[in-house]
This record gives sequence, structure tokens and C-alpha cells, in this order.
Amino acid sequence: MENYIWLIPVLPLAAFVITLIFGKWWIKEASHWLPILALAGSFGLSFAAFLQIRGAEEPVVVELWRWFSVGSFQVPMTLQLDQLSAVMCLIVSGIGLLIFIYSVGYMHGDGGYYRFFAYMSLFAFSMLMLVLAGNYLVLYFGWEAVGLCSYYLIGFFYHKPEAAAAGKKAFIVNRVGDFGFGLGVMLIFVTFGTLDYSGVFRQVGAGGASDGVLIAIALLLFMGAMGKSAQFPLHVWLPDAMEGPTPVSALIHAATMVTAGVYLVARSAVIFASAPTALLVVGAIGTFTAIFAAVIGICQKDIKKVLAYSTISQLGYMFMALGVGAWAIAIFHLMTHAFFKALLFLGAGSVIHALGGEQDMSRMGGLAKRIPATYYTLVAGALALSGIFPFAGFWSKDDILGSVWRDGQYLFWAVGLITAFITGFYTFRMIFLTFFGKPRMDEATGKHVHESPWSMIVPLVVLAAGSLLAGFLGLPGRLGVLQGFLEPVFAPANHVLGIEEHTLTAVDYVLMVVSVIVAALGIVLAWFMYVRRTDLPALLGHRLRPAYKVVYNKFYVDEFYAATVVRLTVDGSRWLWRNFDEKIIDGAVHGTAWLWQQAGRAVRPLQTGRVQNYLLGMFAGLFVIVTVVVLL
Amino acid sequence: MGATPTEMPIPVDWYLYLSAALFIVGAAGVLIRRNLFVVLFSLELMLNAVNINLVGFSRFHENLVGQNFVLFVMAIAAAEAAIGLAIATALFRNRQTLMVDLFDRMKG
Amino acid sequence: MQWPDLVPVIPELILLVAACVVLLVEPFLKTEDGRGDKTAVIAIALTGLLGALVVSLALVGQDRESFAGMLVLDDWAVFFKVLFAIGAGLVILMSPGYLEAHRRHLGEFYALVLLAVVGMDLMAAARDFILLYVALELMAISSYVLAAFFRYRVRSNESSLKYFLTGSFASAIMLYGISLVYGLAGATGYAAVGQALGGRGGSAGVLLAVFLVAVGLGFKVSAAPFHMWTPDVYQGAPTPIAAFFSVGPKTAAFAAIMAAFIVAFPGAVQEWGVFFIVLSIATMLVGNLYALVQTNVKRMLAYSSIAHAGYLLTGVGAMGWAGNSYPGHGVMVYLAAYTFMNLGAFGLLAYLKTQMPHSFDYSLKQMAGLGRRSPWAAVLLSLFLLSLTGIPGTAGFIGKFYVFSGVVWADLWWLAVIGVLLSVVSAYYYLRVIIYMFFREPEEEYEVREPISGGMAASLAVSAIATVVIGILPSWLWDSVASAFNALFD
Repeated sequence: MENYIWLIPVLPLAAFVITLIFGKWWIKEASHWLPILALAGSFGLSFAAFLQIRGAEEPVVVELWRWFSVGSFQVPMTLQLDQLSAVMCLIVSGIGLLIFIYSVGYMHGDGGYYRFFAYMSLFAFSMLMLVLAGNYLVLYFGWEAVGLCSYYLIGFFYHKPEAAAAGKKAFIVNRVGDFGFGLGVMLIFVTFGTLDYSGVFRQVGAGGASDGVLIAIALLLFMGAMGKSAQFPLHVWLPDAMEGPTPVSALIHAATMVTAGVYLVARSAVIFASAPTALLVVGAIGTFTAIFAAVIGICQKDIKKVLAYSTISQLGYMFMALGVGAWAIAIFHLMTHAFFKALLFLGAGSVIHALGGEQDMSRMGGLAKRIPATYYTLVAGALALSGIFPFAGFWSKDDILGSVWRDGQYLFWAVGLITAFITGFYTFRMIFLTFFGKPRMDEATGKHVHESPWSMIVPLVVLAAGSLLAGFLGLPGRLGVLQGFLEPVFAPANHVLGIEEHTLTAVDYVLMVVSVIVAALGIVLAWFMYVRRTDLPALLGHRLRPAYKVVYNKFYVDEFYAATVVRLTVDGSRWLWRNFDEKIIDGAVHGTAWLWQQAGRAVRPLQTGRVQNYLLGMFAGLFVIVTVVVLL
Repeated sequence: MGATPTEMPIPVDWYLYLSAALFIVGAAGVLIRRNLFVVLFSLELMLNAVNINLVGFSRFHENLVGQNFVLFVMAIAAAEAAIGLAIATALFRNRQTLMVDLFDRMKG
Repeated sequence: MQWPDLVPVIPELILLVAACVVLLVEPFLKTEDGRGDKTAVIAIALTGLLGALVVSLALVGQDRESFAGMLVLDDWAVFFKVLFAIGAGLVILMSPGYLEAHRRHLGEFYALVLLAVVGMDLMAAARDFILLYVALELMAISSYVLAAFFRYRVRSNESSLKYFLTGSFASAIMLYGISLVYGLAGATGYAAVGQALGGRGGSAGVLLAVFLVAVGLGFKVSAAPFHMWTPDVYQGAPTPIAAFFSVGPKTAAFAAIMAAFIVAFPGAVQEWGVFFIVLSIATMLVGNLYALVQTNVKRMLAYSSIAHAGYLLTGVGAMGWAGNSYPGHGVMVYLAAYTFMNLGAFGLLAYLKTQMPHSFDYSLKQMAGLGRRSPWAAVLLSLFLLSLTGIPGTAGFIGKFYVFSGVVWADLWWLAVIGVLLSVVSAYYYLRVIIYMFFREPEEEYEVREPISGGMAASLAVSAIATVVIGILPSWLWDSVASAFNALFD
């Protein structure tokens, strides 16, 4: 069976090469066929691989060739197929396929049509390499390659200066993370003398490294994960990355690439399990990011930015799960999130498409009747994201909150619950602003509102079905098909942590009900503010509203409380976004670059252009050396 | 002149002092003088400081390697001088000057 | 009289003969317009290099010395001879169009390149300070003339003047150091010096001598603070020649440092190790800092070559620090990788200049929109720049990986961290070029007359393929490096 694994990534690579070379002159408008067929092939092969790896105890490792050899140190080019990589392959190729099909309609008529599909294929190749890697160096290769594709695709509309700037920002921020990741890989090599997963994990299990070293390795790897998965404080690139075409946002910045960090931590579960301190850091960062990004999501006007912050927040949930050792559940949430977030992005893309490129929600509204297919699918995605029974997000999010509770991390649990409330609120704020109320777009745009072509609707419907049904793969407790499937991969890590399979108790059911109620409350609040009393948000924004107005409304005491709390939150959210996100963190990134630039400028006059000054420099160097020698 | 034929050879450090002084003088010339010709002379001075060293050490070690080396150094110094003068010619043709500090178009 | 064994210098003899034939044949190639058809000259030069390459490869596995032990033939020498022959071949392939566009297509150019290669070969093969000096000067003097090759251009003149003065000054310093080495050891062969000085360790006299020699060679690799000539010389010199300077003399100087210092100065390994470590930090810092603020791509590449010299010097420093040749393995891999990627990057600039001899001034803003004007050129340049950044899958990553893992091996992990950190900084200025090529609208339209073709295409293709192949299959390179080191250090 190992003979065909290499084909999974290579098919999209071939599509990339052929499309890039022949796309411009020969294939042109038909450029989508080859990438779609290739990815469909990858999906089929992934499915075959999935069927064959089911129940296998040992991963299948295929050595393609020897990549490095330094004395006894060998880094072969290996691919590893196990349950985890099989699931990831299915997600990447399956969701990718739908998004490719969607792009046929969305990118139609763009000057860079062939370029778009070529880069997307290259991305699919890189991502599949990343998840199929058999050692950390191949993983690192895929890691860098997906990053490169991401920068190219963010800057796809390069005539927009924001797009180019966003691409560059993503690159720089990710460098910071990758620097840590690179050091982590080096430290793994220095410590264990190998980079193969199996070899490293075996030695970790056998106590082959001290606690300090393990913590250092885990934290360095997590630094890479923070960059790629946009965790606080390295999250700033993701909202800007929305400058890319919407299918790119859906595939790369929601469903697949940004989850690479989650995959990395899950893949290295044994290392993290052996370094509990690092695990706590993972959980804490994830939890904080979850609520932090959700709060910011409240005040965004751009529909894609709402989704971007929501992605960051959901990734935070995944790291929260990883932080309590719920590896399989994190992967489960990764999968359900891939479905509903891809759906939300593609649906948002459909809305944007219908409005001729408008992304500002304050100029939408009343679209429910005019683009019904988009509306219904998008609502399905929103319900899933909010975690409403029986949509996919409900199962995975409640699994996460449940496992956090069981682990005794009640603070994480409480924050997660509040986040669930905010999630329900901002998700449906988006839905209500977009589809309800009076149309707020100008007339010319309003006339041209049209439903998207079938190539865009079909993927939406498929993803909506997925968002509804995917959750049943991961029912809690013993019922979880996915958890059972992934068991062989995570067994060693669970053994280290002493996690046992648990049976459902009454507490679990109570937790579920509580979180659904909380999320529903968020939705109701959104409904109240954006449908029932549309004047409320404006009213809240109006700072000098005389107090008697509030008194006048005293009959609505609940609203009053809600208003003050919400007002604080809204203002706080805006403040966080303006000051913290934009100024401090962006500032730190830009400031570092600026500092280097300034240092460069400062020393530049030293290079005078006069040769005797150069000679003097040499002689001064020599003089220092001679002095040091004589003095020592 | 009636001086007694000296049995004592010149100590090797004397050569060293002489050559070091000569080397420093040459280096100072290269660093300070503006005219390319004088800079070239100063470079020759530095190379000849090396030659003094080599000859002195050759005597000290009583082998001929150093003196051999001197021949190579002299040949290369000649080649270097030829190149230097050729560059000087080209420079003068283009800019009508040989002041080295005036050639600073490229910097920063 | 007994003839010395000439087998070890057959490649150099071939190159010498080819250079002489080029000079002799050229005057007879006049055509009606008086300009001459240089195809024959190019063919002779390439044949010479190919001959040297083939003979060198045929001599793999030999172990002999000649000229009273002044030079040797072993896998070490062969490795560098092959590298220099390929590098010079790539430079010659990319030159004709460029020289033609500047109306200075003369046969001497090729002869001088061949002579410089002879000098570089001998530097790598030398086991005696006298030969090292003579070979270095042969290389240097050819280089000075090449820098001034466009002698009617002010910048080319200025470049040559700066190269000549700084180079002569540095070699005078080095020569003074060699004379002190001779004074202390009474011999000039590396091994003999090593035996004589071995026990005496780090006395002030020895250290002075060692450091003076190190300064001279440090100049050639453009280590800070002996680097200041580099940007001006590269910027002013004809671009193929700048490409040649950035890889040839630098590689030769590294070969000489690695071959000489461990063998000749074993008593002072720690001291010269520290010396090169300090130099490497300064060099990485200076190169990256200055490269960051350049708006001229050619000058940026010059500063980036300084930065790369810094990464390489960390490996050399680690050799001294550990007193072991092992970290040098990575340096050699890096040198091979660096040869191809840097030649490719400079070659692309030469191509652009050939296409627009009057309007192209290498400025960053003229790179804007290249992604659409000339997609192949943009993709190739991106590949070379990504490789220089050290992205996995390219030769540059392999080089950095091996060098820094050698540095870590020598327990200098903090130095590796500095290196990795500064190469993160380097991504900024390499990426900026890519951003300009793909994501910026050009301010005016620039005409690219014809696609990449002929020798330029061959040269760039070889560089690109080598960059990718080394990136994906580096094992054979590592093996040949290992056998080179075995030849040198048993």
C-alpha cells in the first residue's frame, strides 16, 4: 500500500508545474481542470489510505530517498502515513477540492486565472507534504512552502498596495515564529541525534532528555505554531491576510494552513505531554487568544475581518484543548472548523460577489430574500460556529469544554464559556447585519444583486451538509468514531499524561446544555440589538446621550444592563483593536524592521566612497588586533 | 678605515626594527598621501619592508628559503606596479586627475 | 635535472595553454567591421575549462605532492578545482552578450578569467606560504584588470582603483605576516611551520604573525572590518565580473584559510578561532545592516555576499575553537551552494543589463513588474534569492544547515543562534526584491527585447538546477566534501 502515498502530494505538484508553464498561452480559461482533477485524485488516494490505515497499530513510513546524511546522522525524505495524517489529508484534499470548484466561478474573468490555480495547487502540494512528513525536516520544508504560497496568494491582487503590504507583514510575523521552530528542530537534532518522528518519540518516551530540554523544545515548536496558527501575540498577520482572494482566505487562512500549528502540537503530543509546563503555556495562550480575538470580532465592520478574528478565536479553542491533552478533540474541532469556516468564508465570498465587491457590513442588509441559497447555507455555518445543537461546532466545542472541565482547568472552562457567548453574538450580528433589516447599499449595487453561479453554490451546499453532519463523527465519550480512529496515534501521549477513556456522566450533559444556552443567549442578544432594536447600537455609540433617555427606558431594565455591559465591551473591544492590536503589536513588528533600517541608515555614512578611508578602516582593525595581542 | 672586522653579526631584531619602521612609513604613506603615484611608491615601501624581514630571517635561520621568497616578492611587486600605473593611466584619461580621494562616486 | 611531477598541475597547465591560445588567436579574428567574431575565443576558453574540469575529475582519489611539497593533488584540491572550473565556465557563458552590449567584447577578458582560475586552483592546492602568496597575487592581479575592463567608464575605473589599492595593502600586510611566520619557523611549508610552531602555542610573536596572515585572507573573503572595498568594487565592475569576484576569490581564500590554519598554526587554534568568530559576528552584522538600506540591487547583493562570508566564517571560527576540521565540512558545502546561487543572482542582473544597456541602473524600482514583463527571469531570480535567504528545498538552506550544525557541534550554539537570527533579517531585503518583481506596478515601461537565450540561458539553467538539486539531494556533495577533508586531515 505504501507505493502510492507519494502520489498524494505529487499530483497537485504536477498540476502546478503544467499549469504554470502552459497556463498563460495554451490552457488559459481551462486552467482549472487540471488542478481540480489532480486534487480529486489526491482526495481519492487519501480516502484509500484512510481505509487502509484504519485500525493499524504502527504508522506506515515510506522512505523516498536519503535527503541528508552527516556521518551517522541521516535525514531521509520520508513520508509517514498514520491515522492523524490520513485525517489531515482528507481534510486538506476534500475541503480544498470544494474550494477549487468554488473558485471556478469566483475567479472567473480574472487576469491571473491560471496563476491562481497554479499557486493553489502548489499550496495543496505543500500542505499535503506538511501533513505527510515523516520527520521534522520534511515537516519544516512543508511548513516554509505553505508559508510562501500564502504570501504569494495574499498578494495576489498586487496592484492593491494593502495586499502587497499584507503579504509582507504575514511573511515577517511568520519569520518570528519560524525562527523558534527552526531552533526547536535544531535542538531536537542536537538532543536526540535524529529527526524522525518515531525515533524522537521513542527516546522521549524512554526519558532520553531532561525536563528543561523538553520544555525548551516544546516551547520553541509552539512558537512556530503560534506564528502559523495566528495565536496571540503573533496573530496580527491573519486579519490583514484577508486582502487575498476569498477562496484563498477560505482554504489557507481558515481551513488548512492556519491549522498547521495545531497539527504540529498534536503531532508532537508526546513531547508536549512530557513537558507539562509547556502544555500549560499552550492552553493559556490558546484560551486567552480565544476570548481576546472574539472580543475584537464584535466591532469589526468588514465581513471577512469578523471571520478572520473568529478563526483566530477558534484556533485558540483548539490550543485550549491541546493544553489539557485532549489531542483527538483538538483535531476533531480542527475538522469541524474546516467545514463550517470554509463554508462561512465561501458564503461571505458569495455575498461579496453578489454586491460587486462590497465587504463593509454597514452597507449590506436585507439580502435574505435576494440570495436565498447563500443565506441558508451561511446560516447553517453560523449555527455551527456558534455551537448550536446538532451542528458540527456544537459537538466539537462541547467536547473541548468538557475535557477542559474534566482536567480541572475551571478558569479555562469559564473563559471558554464566555467566549462561546461572544461567538454566538458576533456570528449572528454578522448574519443579521448582512441579511436582515433594510438594504443599506447604494441603488446601483442594489439593483445588480444576483445569486452566484452553480459552481459556487454547490460547494456551499456540500459544506453546509458537512457542517451539519460532521459533528456526529466525534460524539462524546466512547461514541466518538474519530477519537477511536485516532487512538493509536495519541496513545503514547495519553499514557504519559495518564488520561483514560471516560464514560459520559450527568455532568457532561449539564455542561452541554449550559454551553448551548449561553451560545443561544449570545444569538438572542444579537437579534435584539440588530433586528429588534436597530437603534440600540447607534444609541450606544452616542456617548453624550442624556441620562434621562436611559431613565425613560427604565422599563427595559434588562436592556439597560445589557446595554452598559455591551457598551463597555464594544468600546473595550474597539480600544483593544485600535491600541493594542494595531499600535503595540503591529508597532513591535514594524518597529523592529524600522530599527534595523535606522541602524543601517546610521552606519551608512561610514562607507564614504573614499578608498583611503577604507584603508584606514582596515588599518584600524589591524591596529586593534595588534594592540590586543601585545596587551595579552 | 681601521675598524676591526666584526665577528659579531647584526642581531636579527635590528632587521625587524628597520623593517617595521619601513612598513609603518609605507602604510602611513598609503593612508595619507592623495596622489596615486605616491601611494604606489608607499606600497612598494611596504613590500620592501617585507623583503628586509625575509633576508634578515634567511640569514638568521641560515637557509635560503627567505632569499628565494624575496625574488618572488620582487617579481610580483613589479607586476603590481605595472597594473597600478595602467590603472593610473585609465583614471587620468577619464577624470584628468590622480587624487585618490576624488574617486568617490560609489558609496553608502 | 629531475623534472617535478607535473600530473598535479595538469588542469592548470591546460588553463594556461588555453589562455595563451586565446591571446594569440584573437588578433586573427578580425571581420570587415573591425570588431571581430569572438565565438572561437569563447570556444577555446570553454574547452580549456572543460578540459581542466574533466582532468580534475579524472584525478579524484589521487594523493601526490609535487614541487618539493609546495603543492599537492588530493580530493581537497580536486574539489575546489572542479568548483572553480564550473564557476568560471558559468561566468564565461553569461558574459558575451553583456560585453557585446557594452561594445567591449575583447578576447583578453577570457584569458584573464582563465589566469585568475589558475591562481585560485593553486591557492587551494598550495601547501606552502610562498606558493600561496604567488597564487593569490596571480588571482588578484587578473582581478584588478578585470574590474577595470570597461576602462572608458568612470565607475569601472573607480572600482578597479579601490580594488587594487585595498588589495595590495592587504596582501602587503599578509606578506609581512608570512615573513614573520618564516622568521619564527624557519620554513614556509604548512606542515613544517606547524611542526616548528606547534609547541610554542600562543606567544605574542606567533599570534601577531598568524593574525597578520588572517587579515590578508580575511580581506579576500571580505570580512568586516576589511570589507569596505566590496560593495564599491562589485557595483562598479562589469556584472559578470562582479559575479566572478563574489564567488571565486572568496572561495579560494576560504580554501586557503581552512587548508593552512589548522595545519600550520595548531598551537594557536583557540586564538585564531576566536579571531574568526569575532570577525564573523562583525561581518554578519555589517553585511546585513548595510544590505537592508540599499536601493541598488547589485550593491545589495554585494553586501549580502559580505553577510554570507560572515555565515561561512562562523564555520571557520568553529574549526579553530574546536581545534577540529569537522565544522569545515559545512563551510565547503556552503561554498559549493553559494557559488551556484550567487552566480545565478548576479547572472540575472547581467541579463537585465544586457537587455537594457542604457536605461537599466540596477535600482529596485526598475525591478517592479518584472513578474509580468519577463516571468522566467523573475521566477529564476526569486529562486536564487530564496536560496540566498535559506528557504528549505534550496541549496542555501542546505549550506546554512550544515554550517550551523557544525557550529553547534563545536558547542558554539549561541553563535549559530546569532547566525540564524541575522539570516532572518536577511529575508527582509531579499524578499523586498521579490515583492517589487511580483507585487509592484512599474513606474514606467521597460523594454525587455528578447527572452533569455544562448549562453546566458545555459548558465542560468545550470545555476538553477544546481541550486535545486543541492537543495533536494545534498548527500553526494556531503560525501565529496567528506572525502576532501579526509584527504587533507587524514
